Amino acid sequence: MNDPQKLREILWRRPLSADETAELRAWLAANPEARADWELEEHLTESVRRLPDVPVSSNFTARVLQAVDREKVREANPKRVNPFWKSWLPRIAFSAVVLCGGLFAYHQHTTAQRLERAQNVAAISEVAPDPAVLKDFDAIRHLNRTAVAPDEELLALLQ
Amino acid sequence: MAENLDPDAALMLRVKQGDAAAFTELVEKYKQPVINLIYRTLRDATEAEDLAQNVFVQVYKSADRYRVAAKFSTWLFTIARNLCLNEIRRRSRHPADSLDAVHPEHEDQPLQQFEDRKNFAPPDSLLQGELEQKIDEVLAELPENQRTALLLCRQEELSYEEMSEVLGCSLSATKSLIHRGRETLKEKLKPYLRTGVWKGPKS
Repeated sequence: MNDPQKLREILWRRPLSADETAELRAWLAANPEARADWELEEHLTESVRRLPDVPVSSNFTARVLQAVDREKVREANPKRVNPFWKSWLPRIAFSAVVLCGGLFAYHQHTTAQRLERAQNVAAISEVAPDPAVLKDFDAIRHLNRTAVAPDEELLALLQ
Repeated sequence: MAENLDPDAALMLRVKQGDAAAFTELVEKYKQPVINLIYRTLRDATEAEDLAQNVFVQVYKSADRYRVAAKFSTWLFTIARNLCLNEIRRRSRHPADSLDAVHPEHEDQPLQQFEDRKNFAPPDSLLQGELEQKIDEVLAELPENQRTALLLCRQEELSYEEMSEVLGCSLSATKSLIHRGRETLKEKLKPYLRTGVWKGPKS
């Protein structure tokens, strides 16, 4: 006699054979309270077994073979250009052009400033006095600093 | 060893050597069970075919790595289940609105349902169709692992041990999943199962 659990596990997969059904009947005769549940089990197995197949397109196999062929072609011809570079190259080129333009504009700006400063210095040098006039400038300035305090004694005698 | 080789594994070894006819034979043999499994998991016929196509392309691409350690069908259904799980995850990240879904602005209006007063005793074929639809609905409500376990049960070539390999759990856990799934089905289908509709001729 099969264990009822074994029979149940068989029944989950397929309807019981004649021998197995006879075994089950013998077991149910001794356990009539389980009859209703076993009937439901049998009915369920049969219902699930009878579920219709899902319709499959007639060209399904052809589509699979086509997809496999596409896969073969893709494997045989790996891409030569790295997709990363392919997508980033235009962006990098654009950034380089913008950067070069910026540097050129900065260079032009500084050159123009330097030229303007040189022209200003030249203009001032034309109106300024001869540098020889200023040769004792430091000594005179020093003398002024020492004579800052008035000579009180001399001022008193003069009065 | 050679005489014990699974015939599908033998075909797969031929595929490994580039035999397209062997691959076609495998596709022809397994397209129906694979599409059945995927359709009853995703409930979308077009999606099921596309995903089944990916399953077979994956089989072809992995042919080089195929080892005759397990039965081919176990390996195939494992790939199919993994792709289904990926699709379920993708759908949960990007949910699409169902055209059948009730829109908020129409929420207060009940769905139209017309009772057929004439037809008191529906013909068996109608009941059979209703039962099939109901089974599909209840299967869809089950947790994924219980549903897959029940669907794999229909594949007679898979043993319980092989089913547990596909499901990635122990033998006892697999049987427990089947038991719990069947208990839910029995509970929800009881009124239909008791009518004897299931006895009708197989369509």
